[in-house]
Amino acid sequence: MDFDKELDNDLKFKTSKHVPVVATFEEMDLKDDLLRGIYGYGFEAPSAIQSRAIMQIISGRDTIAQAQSGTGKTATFSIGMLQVIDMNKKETQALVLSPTRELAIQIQSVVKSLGDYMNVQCHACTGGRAVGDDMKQLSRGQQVVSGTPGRVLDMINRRVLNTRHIKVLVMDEADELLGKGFQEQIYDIYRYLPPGTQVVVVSATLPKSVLVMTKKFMNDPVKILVKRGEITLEGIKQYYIQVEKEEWKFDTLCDLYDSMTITQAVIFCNTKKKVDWLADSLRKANFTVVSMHGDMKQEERDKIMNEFRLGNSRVLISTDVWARGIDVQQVSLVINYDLPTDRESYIHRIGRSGRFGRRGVAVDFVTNEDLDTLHDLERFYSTKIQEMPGDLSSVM
Amino acid sequence: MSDDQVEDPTSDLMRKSVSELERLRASGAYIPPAKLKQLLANIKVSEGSEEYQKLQWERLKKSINGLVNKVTRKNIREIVLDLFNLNLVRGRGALVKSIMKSQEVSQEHSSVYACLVCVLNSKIPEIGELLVTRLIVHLKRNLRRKRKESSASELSFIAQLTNFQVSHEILVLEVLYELLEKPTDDSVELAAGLIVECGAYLQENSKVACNAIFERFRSIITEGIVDGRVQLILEKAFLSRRDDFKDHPTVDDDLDLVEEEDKITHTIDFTAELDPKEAIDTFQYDKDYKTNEEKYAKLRREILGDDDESASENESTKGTLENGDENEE
Repeated sequence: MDFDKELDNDLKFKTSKHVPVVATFEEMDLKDDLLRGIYGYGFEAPSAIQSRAIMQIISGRDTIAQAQSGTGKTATFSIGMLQVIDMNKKETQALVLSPTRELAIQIQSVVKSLGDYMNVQCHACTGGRAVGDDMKQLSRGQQVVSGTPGRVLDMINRRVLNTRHIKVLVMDEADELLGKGFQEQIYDIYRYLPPGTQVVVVSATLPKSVLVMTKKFMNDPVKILVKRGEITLEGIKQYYIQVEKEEWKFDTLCDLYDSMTITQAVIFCNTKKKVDWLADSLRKANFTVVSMHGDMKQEERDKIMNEFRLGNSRVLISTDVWARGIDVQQVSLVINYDLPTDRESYIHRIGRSGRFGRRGVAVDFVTNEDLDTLHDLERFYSTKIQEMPGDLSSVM
Repeated sequence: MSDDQVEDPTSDLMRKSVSELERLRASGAYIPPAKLKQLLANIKVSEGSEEYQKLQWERLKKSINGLVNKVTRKNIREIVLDLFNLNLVRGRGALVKSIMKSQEVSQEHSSVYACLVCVLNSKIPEIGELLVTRLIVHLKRNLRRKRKESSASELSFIAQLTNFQVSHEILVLEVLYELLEKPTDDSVELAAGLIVECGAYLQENSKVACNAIFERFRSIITEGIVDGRVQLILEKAFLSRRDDFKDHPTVDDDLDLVEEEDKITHTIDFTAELDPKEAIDTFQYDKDYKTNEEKYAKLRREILGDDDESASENESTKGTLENGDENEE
């Protein structure tokens, strides 16, 4: 899991003044067991965001870290948290909130891997699972809790999750969390936290409205930001194919599989119905695929994600519900079978590929009617989406 | 596409289609298959012609690549059957290329690709031989250029091919010797990764050599040649050996698909000058095209079972081999 250093160096940060860059994990003066965990996880040197933000989090300052997908944000706050946790205490000392269950579970697994040698106790506290389970786990003492706002609040209200010892609150994908759906729950949770709790805000995108909101939670935060222009996912090659007609999309998809090297791919459609139809059609063509949409039960979604992460399935078909934050290392290709209906989704979707500096490819299927939308995306992200070249093997 | 290779050059529709196709190809852009199909439907190509062979070759290459892209731990048996239906002797270059590319970007699944090769190699040993040869050639080049990531991925594949007995363990020992001759942080890290991935196999089949390598690791630690991170990696390798490499079993049960006596192991010398035969990856005109296709059809029947006439029908061939499997058991 090496970063593409060249690529990483190209990232431009609009950062608060005097944020030092720490070039190695050794120089961060981390706990021995944590350092082992980091190397054991496969990291060698910190990425751009890690080399700047980890030390700020450790210093106890409120921190806003904005970086594009796949630059190692989850590990950034996980390492920071693990360093400041007192391992002699069993109480919950760090709370991570994320907008989706998948993300919460994934963060738990990163924390556990990095904290493997420390024996850290980390629990994922999400909706869709038995409340009793959560209560049992929490009563055992969980030093880190990673959860979705609703369930976390519920656990606090039931007095199962004791907030008294919490030192750090992390809000992942903060733009979502501070948007309309979760706002009130977040406020409620925040009210339970001890005064002076450190707040860390992380996201790929941070619209101005959200930055304004953070003022209510944060005290003179240090900002580590990427400029909006740069957020078009460097390292991801973007192509479009003029499939002309909707009916021609499927053959094109199969042809891509015959011509490129694809380890794992995520295919996005705009409707649940389309997801189901495409999954069926691909199965008939002998693909092992899994599919996912918002109506599915949690257990089912967990199972599907797991299959995909293990590589038992090489194709995941999804609606936008999946687009955020989930990190599957192997995804090399994202296909927009349908162009997304809103601009923000585009970046979240194609950010699934090319994580950790791997070069990813995004392909947009464009019918004659979609051409305007495509140009709009190009303008909005001031990027160039190229026409797919004839020699597909040169692409991947 | 020149006119003498097409059957009816006077057909207006065909001429239009040909020129449209040429225009599209010249533009360098991708042609969606539905459109291509439409154009090709209007163009007749005679069977003996070079153009015909070229089209067949493109089709073969794509089918192979598509199948390699579909392989998972669970469907490997079906994919193998589908692959044998294609002319893998003609397509072995393309096949090996597709497999190598897939493994390179998906190192975690090296064992799955090694398993695939193990099965194919048991029937067509040229496949395993070509793969191991190319891996060595690439590895040497990447080691020389100090490309650690790429080297690690090739080593992982070699380790797994050793586990699956496609490649003889002597190769691994030769590589380890080379890596540890002048130890650096990178070379020691690579060596540790390699030995752990096929440690269980070496322990069983080459215990003395395996122990010697670990002795070398020990002296590297005591001499303090490598940095702290690589020392941790070495410590981890020792722990792994203490647990008999149980995190790295030689072959997982679900990938154990080939009978011991059917395995064919290649012994290819790491230090030798090797020919990766890259020319067979591209189209070659075959003047004995028909004979060679028939030859392969015969071989395919031997592999898949006797009454396999309709080879292009996936369903029926699957039935055949599944029946064959049952008979064997």
